[in-house]
Amino acid sequence: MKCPYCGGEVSVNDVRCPYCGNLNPEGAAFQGEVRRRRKLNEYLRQKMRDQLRLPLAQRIMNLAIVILALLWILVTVLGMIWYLVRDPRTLGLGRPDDYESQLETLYDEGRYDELYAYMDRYSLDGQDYPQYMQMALYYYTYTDFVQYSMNCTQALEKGSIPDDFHLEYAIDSAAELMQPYIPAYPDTYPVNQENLNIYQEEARTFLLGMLKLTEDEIQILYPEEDGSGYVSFTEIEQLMELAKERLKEEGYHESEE
Amino acid sequence: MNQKNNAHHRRFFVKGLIILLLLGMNYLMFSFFFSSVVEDITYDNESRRDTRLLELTSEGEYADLYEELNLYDLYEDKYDDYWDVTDAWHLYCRFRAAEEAGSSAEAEVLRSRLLELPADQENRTAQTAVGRIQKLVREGA
Repeated sequence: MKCPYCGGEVSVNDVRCPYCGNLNPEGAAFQGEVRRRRKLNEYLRQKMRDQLRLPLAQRIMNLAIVILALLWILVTVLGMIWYLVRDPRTLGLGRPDDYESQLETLYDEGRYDELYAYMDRYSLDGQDYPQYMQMALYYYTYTDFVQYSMNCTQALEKGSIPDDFHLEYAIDSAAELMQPYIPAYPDTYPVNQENLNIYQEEARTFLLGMLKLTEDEIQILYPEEDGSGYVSFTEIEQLMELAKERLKEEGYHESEE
Repeated sequence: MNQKNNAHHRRFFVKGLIILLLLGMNYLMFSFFFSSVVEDITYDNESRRDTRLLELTSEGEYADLYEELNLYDLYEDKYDDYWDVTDAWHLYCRFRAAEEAGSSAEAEVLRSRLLELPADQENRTAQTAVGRIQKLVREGA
């Protein structure tokens, strides 16, 4: 295009004429339009950014999710490492090569308390070693009975009726010995059956001697003739109340607890 | 506008649920792993455990002693003396039960087994406890 002042050739982008230096009105208008559009663009871009930006609550929630998820992963990983470092045997690792002969020795020597602990420590499956597991579980129940009957005798020695907790669990564990969860197989594991008989006899003597129950009353703890049977919690409680009554009659005083 | 609001609320609800779920999972993991950490810190302290065993023995809380020994699988040789005490108390309990149930023959067997228990423990508290239990039987005879 031509400059209206000097007639020189000027571009539409030029605000002033490169020859005479006068203002080029068309170039000035064009540059003004460019500036205006650039500003509008900037404004629209900012507006779009603001619209796309999530509200504060949403951002906090997202952050919380990320932090909690990372924390969960961290805790899980650290926990696993802790477990491994603390005792690899809990994951079935580090089992000694001669564990089967160890099991046999513990069983043959009648160290059933250690047998249970050993199987538990090395996560040995009861299905693979039913003989040992059965004996270990019998012994575990017996241990419970021994502990609670000891607690009861301790209270009785002091002239007081045992507290409900120990009394109830002593009768309950005696019931478990009479009707074990895993039935005895005398032909398969005679030693287990013999031991169970001894435990049952001890429980019977305790119920009759220390808790002053009668043979008839404790019959409820024995299985039916066909091997079935179930002792309910109510029945245990009834026996407990009966024992407390008898002990009271015998001159034992109520527990202070 | 309504549709937009609904979507907005739904997002809030879903995120809230996710946060609750993650909180629950974190709680479970913490309690699962770190309860054992606390347990280790509390109970792996051998001197504290030994003090507790001594206390139970000297106070005559033999049943609790038995529970403690079983609970933490204390089968090492150094705990043998405590096991002797619980053996003695167990025999005594059986003796008393047999006596009360009128099984005098069984009671006599248990009595002699209890009196035959050696009272030569290295741990003096345990030794005294065994002697005390044996004395109960002697006095009862």
